[in-house]
Amino acid sequence: MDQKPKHQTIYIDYLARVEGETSLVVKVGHENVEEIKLKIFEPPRFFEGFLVGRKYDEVGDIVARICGICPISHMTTTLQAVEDAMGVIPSPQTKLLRRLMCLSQIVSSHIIHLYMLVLPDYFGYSGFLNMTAQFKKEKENFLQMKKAMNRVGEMIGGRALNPISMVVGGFTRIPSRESLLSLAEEIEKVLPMACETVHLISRLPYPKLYGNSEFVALRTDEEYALNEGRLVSSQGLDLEIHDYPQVFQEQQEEYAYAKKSFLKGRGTFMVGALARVNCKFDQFHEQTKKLAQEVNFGIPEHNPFYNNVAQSLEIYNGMLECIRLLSEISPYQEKPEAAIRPGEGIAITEAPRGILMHSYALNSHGVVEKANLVTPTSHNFAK
Amino acid sequence: MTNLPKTTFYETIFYRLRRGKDEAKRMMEKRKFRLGVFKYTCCAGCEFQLIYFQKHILEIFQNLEIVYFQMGDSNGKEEGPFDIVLIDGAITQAEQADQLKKVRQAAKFLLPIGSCAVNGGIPAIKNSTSELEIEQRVYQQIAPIHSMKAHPIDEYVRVDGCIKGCPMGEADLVEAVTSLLIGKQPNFFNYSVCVECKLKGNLCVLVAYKEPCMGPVTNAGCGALCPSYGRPCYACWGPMEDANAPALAQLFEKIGLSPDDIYRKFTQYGSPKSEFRKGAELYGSKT
Repeated sequence: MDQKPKHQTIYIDYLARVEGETSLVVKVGHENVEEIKLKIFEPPRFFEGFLVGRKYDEVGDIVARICGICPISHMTTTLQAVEDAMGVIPSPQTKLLRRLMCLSQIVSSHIIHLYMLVLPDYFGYSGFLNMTAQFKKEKENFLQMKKAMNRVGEMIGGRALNPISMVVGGFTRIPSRESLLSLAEEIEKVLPMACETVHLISRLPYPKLYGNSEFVALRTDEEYALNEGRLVSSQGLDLEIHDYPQVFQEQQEEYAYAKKSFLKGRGTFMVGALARVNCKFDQFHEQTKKLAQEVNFGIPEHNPFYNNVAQSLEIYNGMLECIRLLSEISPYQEKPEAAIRPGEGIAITEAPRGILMHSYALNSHGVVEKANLVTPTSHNFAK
Repeated sequence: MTNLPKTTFYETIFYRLRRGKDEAKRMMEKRKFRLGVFKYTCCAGCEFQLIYFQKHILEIFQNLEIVYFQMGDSNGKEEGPFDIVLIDGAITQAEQADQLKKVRQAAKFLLPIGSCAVNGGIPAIKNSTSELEIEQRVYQQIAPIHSMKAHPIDEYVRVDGCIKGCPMGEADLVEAVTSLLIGKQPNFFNYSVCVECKLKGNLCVLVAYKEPCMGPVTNAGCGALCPSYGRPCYACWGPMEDANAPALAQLFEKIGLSPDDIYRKFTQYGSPKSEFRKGAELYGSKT
């Protein structure tokens, strides 16, 4: 029985319950893992290719179709990049409504991820639908919370998936104060469920895994940054978003259709909920900080499995933030305004899974001449 | 692509139901319908949309046994057999077409869901540029890239109806699945967005504000969402059958759109579909 473990290769042909088609190959040697290849075979769709020749006012609608779980993030990023190129400055109200949309996106994406994609693994089920008979309370929490957050996207954006009122320069329809207040009430009702989610998710048996990742996120002085700010990292990076192309580099791998992104001279890094929480825990609402303490979550946290706990905290914090913004806002009517101007623009936002970068070059007709999109998946892929 | 006369969806459904009605009834009493959900080239939004329709869908799901749904369940049987298969996404790779044909053979009813699967959708924008050029814009090494033009599902296999929308419409999905469950003919919207817009009492954005609205040629189902939010329709539901795209394209020219702008309007959604191509071809030089 004193056999030495042999070299072994583990193949997983299809990672289920993951958005995007991926297989995994792990080569295990005598003592440690020798090689891990995440083969992303999701068919390429060439957005950067066919966006060339499209007009500035249709790009937002097109990029929303990049990701079925985070269309709002892609849309917002593109709108801001186009505005940056054309020199359009969005009104404070537009920024605020976009922040609300972004919050609804992050929270509902996290809800779907934790309940539908994560929980079945930890409880030994093949899918969430099989769990619903035994986990009635969880199912109810999941549906209620998601419904409330989708309502934000529907009320402000016109449609929760692929919203329609978000355009370059603003919103085509401004919701009434009454409807926003009713949204705040709805979210208030599901807030205790978010608290239960944090407790549930933090009790899952996570494998112990230590590493020393560099966490990258957006940060501003005023608030928990989502759509604007500077790029900061847990290891001292601090740069203006327009410097992104000089600092980050994309690399193509033969075995995957997705590209890998590296920090020049620094290597791999992590983005997403855990990165955000590590970089700006201090900007959480006081209630969220207290809750984090209750479940023994502290920063810096380097175990990537705790991304789930970080997501659950963002659900709770996001709802608190939504309630605050929805109760404070007093909407006024304004029309989106934008005049075509040639130029180059860049924008970075926090999508649910981490920083998302879009950059465009527009010609004098407002037509895209060059497009570059780097998703959170690419940012995390090299890690 | 030639413009072959295709069997209309109603004919197909009639045929299928006549043949399978008794069998379907018997099946209903014995066991649940077996569902397969397959995803090809798309954003997976329609799969998520399945989950978003919580009001009706959980009820419907109780009558379905999930045989294959990679996004929702890790125990999948790709080979079926299936009673209902929903297909999300366009076909852009040879392997996808191979699998699709096998799925068709294992499926009683097969329905594309969402614009990509129904008419090529957003992935088909690239069809108006050569593959090589598109690939070179995105990848430095193109040797490992195996992709082809984006085609809707019915270019490869027969379909038993289409659930349109981007993301797919709730009303269409519920109608299709419940109809198949109880063995009746689904009743889809076969008119344009304009009808819904009029019923809502909206002011016409095309006539009143001279905005280039695609509503007159776009299939209904969204509830005239964009015009209700003060912006012109951008045709995300895809073309309505027998739509008169050239007439609308000429109207766009009258309200001051450039030929390039008109071309873009008709190629954003459903570029391989003839209804929109006729509008694009009047003004586009790129195809």
